[in-house]
Amino acid sequence: MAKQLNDVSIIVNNRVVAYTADSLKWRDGFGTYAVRNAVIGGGQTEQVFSKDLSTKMGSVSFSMPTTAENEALKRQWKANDNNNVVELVGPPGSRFSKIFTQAAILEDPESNASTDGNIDVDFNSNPAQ
Amino acid sequence: MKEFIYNLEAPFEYAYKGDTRTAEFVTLLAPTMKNNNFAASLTQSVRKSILAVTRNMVVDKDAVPDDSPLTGEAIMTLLFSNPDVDINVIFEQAKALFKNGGALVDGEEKMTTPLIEKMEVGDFQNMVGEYIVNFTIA
Repeated sequence: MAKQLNDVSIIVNNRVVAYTADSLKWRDGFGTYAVRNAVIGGGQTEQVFSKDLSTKMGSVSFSMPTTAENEALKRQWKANDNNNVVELVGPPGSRFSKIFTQAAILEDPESNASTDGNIDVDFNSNPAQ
Repeated sequence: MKEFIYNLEAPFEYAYKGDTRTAEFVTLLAPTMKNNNFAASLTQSVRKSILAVTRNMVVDKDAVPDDSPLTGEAIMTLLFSNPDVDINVIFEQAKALFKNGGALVDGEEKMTTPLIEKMEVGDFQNMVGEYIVNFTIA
């Protein structure tokens, strides 16, 4: 029986992160692909396929509860430029694992100090390994 | 500070400055007052265990004394083979100590739970043994 992946561990720079349930998203970094038609005459066309290598970037985003510890982590990751490594590890037996190297937080992450407030973190990185 | 280099039999990958690197060794550091509460618990458990092991030991007076130095592997064999020793307590105390300044991967990266979980069982057990031999009963 297939099981939904909703219990993935996030490990940033060898440390486990406690994140808000159901907030994790990632992109492997295949990049976007494009197709267009080239005319070969007689009403015929030929497909031209290309990969936009400039979009070949991985990303991992998640939210963490706004605590003093998580605020410190956010600042540390941001200050670390692109020297972060994010690992996603599935539950035992799932054989799910992805590593995103040279990860950087490009935006200025927003923190929300309300009762159920979160810090939204968005890493951009090399494509997933 | 006194330290011991434990060479890993099964190297593992870890995050290092934005990339992944293969760990070759773990530097075990002698306890300081900063992590003494973790070290003290481990020392107490180990000494209790050794006492339990030696209490039931039959001494052969004619045996030739073995002068070879005690190894981590030998101490672990001793602890494992005695039913009075709760080996999991020792492992948990060693994990806490390693994560709190007792061990550095490749001599620089702080040991964390994900890194311990990447280690092979044999490496972890031998590392605990070497820590005990070098810093707990030395």
